[in-house]
Amino acid sequence: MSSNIQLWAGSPDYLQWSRTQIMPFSEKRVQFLVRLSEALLSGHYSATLIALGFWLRESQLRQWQQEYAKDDKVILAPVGRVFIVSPSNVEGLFAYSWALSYLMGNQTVVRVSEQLTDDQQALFTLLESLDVQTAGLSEQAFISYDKRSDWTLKLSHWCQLRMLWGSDQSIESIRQIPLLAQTQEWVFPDRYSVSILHLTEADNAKIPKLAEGFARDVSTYQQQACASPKWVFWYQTDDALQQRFWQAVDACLGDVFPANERLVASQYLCALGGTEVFHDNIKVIDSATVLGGEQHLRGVVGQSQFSDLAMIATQLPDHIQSVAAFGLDQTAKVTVVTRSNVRQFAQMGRVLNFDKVWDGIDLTTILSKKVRL
Amino acid sequence: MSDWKSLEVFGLAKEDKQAWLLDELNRLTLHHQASCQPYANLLAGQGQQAGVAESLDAVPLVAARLFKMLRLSSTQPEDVFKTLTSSGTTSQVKSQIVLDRDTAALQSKVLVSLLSSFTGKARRPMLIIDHDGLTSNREGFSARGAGVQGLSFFGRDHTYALNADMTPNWQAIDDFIAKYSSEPVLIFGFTFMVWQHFIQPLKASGRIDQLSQALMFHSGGWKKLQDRAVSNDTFKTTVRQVLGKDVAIHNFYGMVEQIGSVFVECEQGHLHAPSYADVIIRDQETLEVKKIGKSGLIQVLSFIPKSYPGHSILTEDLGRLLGEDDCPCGRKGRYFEVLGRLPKTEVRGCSDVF
Repeated sequence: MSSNIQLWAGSPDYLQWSRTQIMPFSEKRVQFLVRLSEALLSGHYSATLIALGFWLRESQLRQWQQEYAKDDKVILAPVGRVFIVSPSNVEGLFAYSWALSYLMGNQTVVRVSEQLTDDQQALFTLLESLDVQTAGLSEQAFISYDKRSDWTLKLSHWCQLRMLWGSDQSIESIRQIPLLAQTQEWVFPDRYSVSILHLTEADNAKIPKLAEGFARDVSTYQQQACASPKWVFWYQTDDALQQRFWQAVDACLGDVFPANERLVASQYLCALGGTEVFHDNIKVIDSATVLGGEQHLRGVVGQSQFSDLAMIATQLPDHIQSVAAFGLDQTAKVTVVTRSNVRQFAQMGRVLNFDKVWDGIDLTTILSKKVRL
Repeated sequence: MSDWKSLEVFGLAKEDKQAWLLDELNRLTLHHQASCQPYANLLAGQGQQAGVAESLDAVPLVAARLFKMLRLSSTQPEDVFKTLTSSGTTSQVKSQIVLDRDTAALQSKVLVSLLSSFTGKARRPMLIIDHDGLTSNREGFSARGAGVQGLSFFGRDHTYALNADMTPNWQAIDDFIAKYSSEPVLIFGFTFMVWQHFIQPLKASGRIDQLSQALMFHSGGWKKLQDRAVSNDTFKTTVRQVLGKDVAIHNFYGMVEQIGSVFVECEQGHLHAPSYADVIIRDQETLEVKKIGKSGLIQVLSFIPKSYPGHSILTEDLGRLLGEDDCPCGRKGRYFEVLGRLPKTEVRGCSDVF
């Protein structure tokens, strides 16, 4: 079944694309991304798309270019044909991995789910109009198709690198379709993220700012992103400071989380053995161990108390991704990293900011090859 | 032991009802606390004491969705008689409701007493607007199957009006009409199915005025009909045009999570809480109790659920409290209307690609 394929932006003839000589950071591609960035920053777009526009600003692109320009022992070259399967949720995620694949000179096919979000619709419309002006997307395609069709198979055989973002279940199901021996694969499965906070009396004045950051981290995508914090580990932090922190978070949240969602989430964690210790705009559930990681809860954060950082590390689940941290120095972070699967740290309030090094992987590196001289 | 049998179905005014039902509910909270560990945890975790509520709205409640996330049971595994599941048309995860023999029997008896206050004592020939494959599997009993089976007690000569593919079984329907067209009969089905798979085909085939002494119960959500711009009034008018002008039509509201609680629509078009159950409307934002005339989330209370902690449930349905003890139909107790489901705020995570 090869029918029902939909092309949202780019060119339709991907299976016939011939080899091209485009190199990473080609000026034409940098310019296309700069135009995309400028259009997103100057138009009436959602916060999510504006964030994408900011991320792709010219100074940022040039900075990456500089990082790779220094090395005279290798030539940076594209991988070639890249197939990205991405959720259409957490709007724009597909756009970040695509932009990096594009920047590194690859031919890219991006498969998104068939139900487009408003943000996706807006982004595809913009990409199409930029493509009409510049022909910048002649070797790129954004498509949807029925997941039961054989398009995943065809594209898996077409590509030289397959990149999968999604739930463990979707990744396992796509992995039923084997790749050829010469094809590489990178996967970004389900992840769980937490916060580790170490506050002392001296940090008192910083609490409002930290709380504002935490509130932003939980309210963006309503805790549904892999990087959204779902549990707070208090490391050698006084109860009174914790209380002050939650009050400050509460003040920033307003009615971000619907009351019924908070109730469901809190009752669930309580039923598993937690104790509700704070219950306003966000509910805080105290428990000695992480609870409820398998459910997509909204409006609830768990918390545990520890005086030993190594103990915290052992509490982190295997699929831990981000730790929004405060009060941890380099040594402390090493203690956590060596005892757990933590894949990235972030500052409070920035945990959802995408970076080209994501989930422990440098995306520009895997989307290119370093040809030794 | 509860003395529910001595209660008049719609006879308890506010004070008496509060006294009777509150006592039952407090006892149930204590019972479930002792018999269901997750429920006991839930109470403890939220700092709630069992059995001490001084008013109905102070009885601890459980969010309906919890029954989809956890198996909440106060029944020993060997005493499980059947497990009900929600129909799960919109959500893939289904509620699991555990029944033991006593609770199942109590539900049936209460339902009989409740609905016979509308149908009278005599069992009527019954036309079920569904197919007969619904009630066979006890392990995975669907809400639809349970509804059909619950209502079957009122009828005799049960006739299924549909084929498995939802087309009318004309042979069965015509035989039923031939036998009972001048008798009081009972028709039961889910609202949308009655409309789409029974009334419309009857009308199209010209079978008009053939069951003029029917009494119809229907239930199960208005969303699909609202999408077709069919209101409750349109529904009733059309059903009467097709079956006969004196047909009695009663919608009712209920849910698998508290299946013995059935709120039947009276002649005024109001849904009524019987003596055995009650409704509370709570603010969507604060969960505070709302007064008469106000809308919000519907909480349902019932003395029946003993096998699982479902005696006080906050649903995800929106409703409006219309009054208490003073409906022109003469029934005591609270009456209300259902306004639909709590809108889902779509939030997408990293995981749901497909």
